[in-house]
Amino acid sequence: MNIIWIVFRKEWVDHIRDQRAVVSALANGLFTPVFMLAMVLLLGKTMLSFNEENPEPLHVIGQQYAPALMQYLEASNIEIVPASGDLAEEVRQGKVKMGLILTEEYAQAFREGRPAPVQLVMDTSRQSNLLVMNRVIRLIETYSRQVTSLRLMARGIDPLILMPLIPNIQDVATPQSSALLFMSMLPFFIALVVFSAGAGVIVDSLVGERERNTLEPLLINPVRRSSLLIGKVLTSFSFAVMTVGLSLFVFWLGFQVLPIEESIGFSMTLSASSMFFIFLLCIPETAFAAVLQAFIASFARSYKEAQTFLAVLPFVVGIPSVVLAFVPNPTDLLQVAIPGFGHSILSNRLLRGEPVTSLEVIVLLLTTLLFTAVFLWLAIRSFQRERILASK
Amino acid sequence: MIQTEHLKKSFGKVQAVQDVSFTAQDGQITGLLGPNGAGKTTTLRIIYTLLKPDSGTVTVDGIDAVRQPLEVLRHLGALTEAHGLYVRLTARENIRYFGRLRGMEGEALENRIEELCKLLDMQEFIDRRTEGFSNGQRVKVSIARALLHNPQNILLDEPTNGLDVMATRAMRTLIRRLRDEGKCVVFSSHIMQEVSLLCDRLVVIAHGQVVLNGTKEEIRQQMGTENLEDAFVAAIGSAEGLEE
Repeated sequence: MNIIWIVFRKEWVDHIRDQRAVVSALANGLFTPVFMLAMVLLLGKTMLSFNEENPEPLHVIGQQYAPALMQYLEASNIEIVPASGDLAEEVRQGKVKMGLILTEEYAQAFREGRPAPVQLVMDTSRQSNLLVMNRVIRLIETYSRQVTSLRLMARGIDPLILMPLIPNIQDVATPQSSALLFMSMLPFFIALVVFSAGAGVIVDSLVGERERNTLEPLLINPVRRSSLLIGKVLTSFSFAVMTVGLSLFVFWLGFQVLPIEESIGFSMTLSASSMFFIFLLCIPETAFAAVLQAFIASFARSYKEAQTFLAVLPFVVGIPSVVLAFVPNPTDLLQVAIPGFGHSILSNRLLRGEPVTSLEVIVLLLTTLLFTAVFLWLAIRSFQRERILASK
Repeated sequence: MIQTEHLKKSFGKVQAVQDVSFTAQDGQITGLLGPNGAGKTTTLRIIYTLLKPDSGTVTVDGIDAVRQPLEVLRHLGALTEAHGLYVRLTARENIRYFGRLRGMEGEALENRIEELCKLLDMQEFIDRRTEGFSNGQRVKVSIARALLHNPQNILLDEPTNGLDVMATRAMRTLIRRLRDEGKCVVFSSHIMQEVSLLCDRLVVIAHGQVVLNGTKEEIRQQMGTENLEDAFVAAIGSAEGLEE
C-alpha cells in the first residue's frame, strides 16, 4: 500500500510538470463539450431555418404546361422560378435546391385523365435541403389527391372510398425528448472522453519509462511489480476522472449560459443532479478504461505504437454508443451490464429524464468492477514478463 | 558474496548465456570482461533478478535469486547499462524516489542523500531537473541511486562507458573505495585495460561462456603468456575489446 502511494505521488509530480501534456489533455477534455454545444446550436439553427413564412424557390422547366399546379404551389408559399438549361447539373452543384420538369406530355395526359408525369430533380444527400424537398413532394401528393377526389366526384363516387383508414397521430414526445435528438450523441462523447483522458499519462508512465531507460533501474528496487503498476494506473485514473468531471461540468455550464432553447426552439433542462449522477457512473467506467489502457500499453513496442493503439480505443468502445442514437433505448439487463455500453444506456436515460433502476446500477457496477479486476490482473501479468524490458 | 553456477539463458534461438559460473568475494573487485554481445549484461540481469535463468543458480549472500528475488534485491545495488533518469524531476528527487521505494524515509534518507551528494561531488546540480544532464552527471545520479541503501553487493554494468577522463578517474576511485569498505563489487567492461587496472579477479566471457577465471597472475600462468593482453587474445581468439 505504502509503495503504491509512493509511486502515485511521484507519477503525479512527474506528470504535472509535463505542462505540454497536461494542457493538451485538458484541451482535449474541453474540446468535446464545446464541440457538442456548438453542434447543438448549429443543428438547431439549420433545422429551424426552414420558415413557413418565407416562400421557398422552386425552379421549374415547362411551367406553361401546368398552370393549375403552379397556382396551387404558389398558393402554398412556393415561389415558382422559371428555369432553363441543365437543371440536374445545377442541383448537383447545389446552386438550386430543387427542380421540377414538366413536359407537353403532362398537359396531354392530364386532359385525358391518365397519370401525368412530373419529374422532380433533387439531391437527397444535402441534409439542409431535406425539409424543402419533403414539403414540395407533400404538396404535389396533396394536389394529386385533390384532383383524384374531384375526378371521383365527377363520376358520382364518394372520394372517401379511397380513405379506408385515417391515421391519427398522437405525438407523446415531450419538448425535452425531442431535444434529445441532439442529445443522443452525448453518451458517445462521454465515452470518448472517458476512454481517452488518461491515455497520455499511462503511455508516458509505462512506455515512456522504458524509452527513457528508467524502467530497468526502477525494477531493481525490492518492490512488487504489481504495486508499481497499480500506482501508475491510479495516477492515470485520477487524472482521467478529473478531466471527465471538467468535461461534464463545462457541458452543463454551457447549457446554463448559452441560449440553447432559442436555437433549438423548445425548452430543455439539464439538471445538475442528473449530470452529477452521470459523473458518478463515469468513475468506475474510467477505472475500467485505465486498466484496459495499461494492459494495451504494456504490449506496445514503442511510444508511437502505444499512442496509436490507445487513440483507436475510444472509438472501438464508443461505436456501440453511437448506435444508441438511432435505435430504441435498450432496457435488457444483459445489455446494461456491458461496461462502456451500459454506461451510455444509463446516461442516455438520465439525460432523457427517464428512470434508472438501482438494480441496473448495481449490476453495471459489479460487471465493471469484475472487468476492471480481470484486466488489472492481466496488465500486472504483462508487466511481470521479462520482455517488458525489451522494446523489440 | 555472489555465486553463479552454470547459468544458461536464451532468447528465442539466440543463446545469450551458455555456461557462466563464477564467485565474487566480499572485499574484492571482480571484473567481467568480454567483447560486446558476449553475455555480460544478460549475466548481470540474471543476478539482479530481472531475468530468470533457463538453468543454473545464482545466490547473493547465500540467498537464491530465483526463489527470493525481492530479498536478493535488498542485498544489492546495481548500476544498469543505461543511466535513465526522470527528466522532470531534480536529481535529488530522482534519488529520493528510489530511497522511498527501498523503504527509507525522513531524516535518515535526506542525510544519506546529502552524504552521497558530497561523496560523488554532485552539489552543483543536485537540485536541478535532470533534463539535459551530461553523461557524467547522469552516471553520478544513477550511482547514488544504487548505493543509497548501502548495499553489500554492488553490480556495475559498463560504469565508465561514455565518461570523460576526469569522471572515469573518479569512478575508479569510488570502486576501489567500495572494495576497501569490504563490499563485493562486480563490474563489467569490454575494455581490457580498465579491468586489469582495477580488478582483483577476472572473469572473461566470450560467446556466453566463461573462458578464463582467476586472478591476473593465475590467468597469465594458465595461458602461458607474458602479459594479460596476450592471454586475453589467446582465450577469446580475437583482438576485440582491446581498442582504446
